[in-house]
Amino acid sequence: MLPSLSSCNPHLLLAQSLNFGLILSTAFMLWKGLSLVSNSPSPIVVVLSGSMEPAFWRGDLLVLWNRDMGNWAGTGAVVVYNVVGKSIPIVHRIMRRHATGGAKPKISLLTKGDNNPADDVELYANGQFYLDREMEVIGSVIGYVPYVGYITILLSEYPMLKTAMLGLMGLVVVMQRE
Amino acid sequence: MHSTLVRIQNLFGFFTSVTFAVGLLVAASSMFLQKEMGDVKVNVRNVEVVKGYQNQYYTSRSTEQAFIRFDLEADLEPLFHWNTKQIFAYLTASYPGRKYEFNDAIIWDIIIPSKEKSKLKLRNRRAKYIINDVTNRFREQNATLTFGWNIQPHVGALTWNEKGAGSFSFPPLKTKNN
Repeated sequence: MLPSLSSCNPHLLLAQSLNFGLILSTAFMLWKGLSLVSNSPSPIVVVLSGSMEPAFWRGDLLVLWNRDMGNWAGTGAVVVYNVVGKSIPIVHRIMRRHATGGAKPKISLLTKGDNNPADDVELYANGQFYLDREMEVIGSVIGYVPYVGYITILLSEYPMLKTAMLGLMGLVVVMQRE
Repeated sequence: MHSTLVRIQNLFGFFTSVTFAVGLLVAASSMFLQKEMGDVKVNVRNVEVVKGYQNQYYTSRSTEQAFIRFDLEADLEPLFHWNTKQIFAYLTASYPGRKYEFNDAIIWDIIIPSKEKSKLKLRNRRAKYIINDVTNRFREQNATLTFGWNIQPHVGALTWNEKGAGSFSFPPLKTKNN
């Protein structure tokens, strides 16, 4: 499918770059569409730590939902959160939930990893004891696919692999021309 | 060379489509294999509210803390089928409050990894988690207990469900004198 760029036919080149752009924008639109439907900035995440074992392992793929429906929002639900000022998303279970009344309630959550002995207060910011549901939680886990995300962990942990993969792709392109 | 590459590509493509289709079928089968769970019996034996320090959080705040002892009987065997990896079961205490009107706190939980361990029978068990509230005041409130469970699949959607499990009241503060 990959063309040899050295053929230098401007028509072909333009058509091919258009095709490439179409693929990229389709992927981007799908991701953003999913984001809108689930109301989550990141509707699909890869598990990075073992703190929810044996439920989730490193490299498993999780599907998130960020609208308060059904039982995905209360205690026992599994949420992905991003503490303000820290950039690593964490997947843990809600242990306590305190909500005010009213149309726009303030909801405070305490979380814990199934595989951790203590709750998450130490993972929060200094002096923070509860998560802010609105500000810090990016979604509840509703779907699970094992292993699929492991390739992204491999690629980010072994930069050599990325180079090797790119090299292999280039090699394939060159070889296919003959 | 060309044909070998195309063959490898086709083989890999076929492998991924078959894996994806099988995964989808297994995930869909969960909907039809779901069975109803029997009754859950919970009996609260003893509740104490004391004031003390939480040395776990490195603060000098003295907070209200509740200690609970209970019996529990539940049979989760009907919930296990071929796409059940594990069940996370938990007992939640819910109570009202002044600033935060809705409070839920998990007081005990368990990971059930297999059918063989799905019959729960607890006698005079101490709650796994001490309740300490976001407002630090919950004594003399009436609380309801809910037994909840989260079915985690090998692949597919996570499901949650719950059953009412009785109620109790937090007693007045227990002081060292009485």
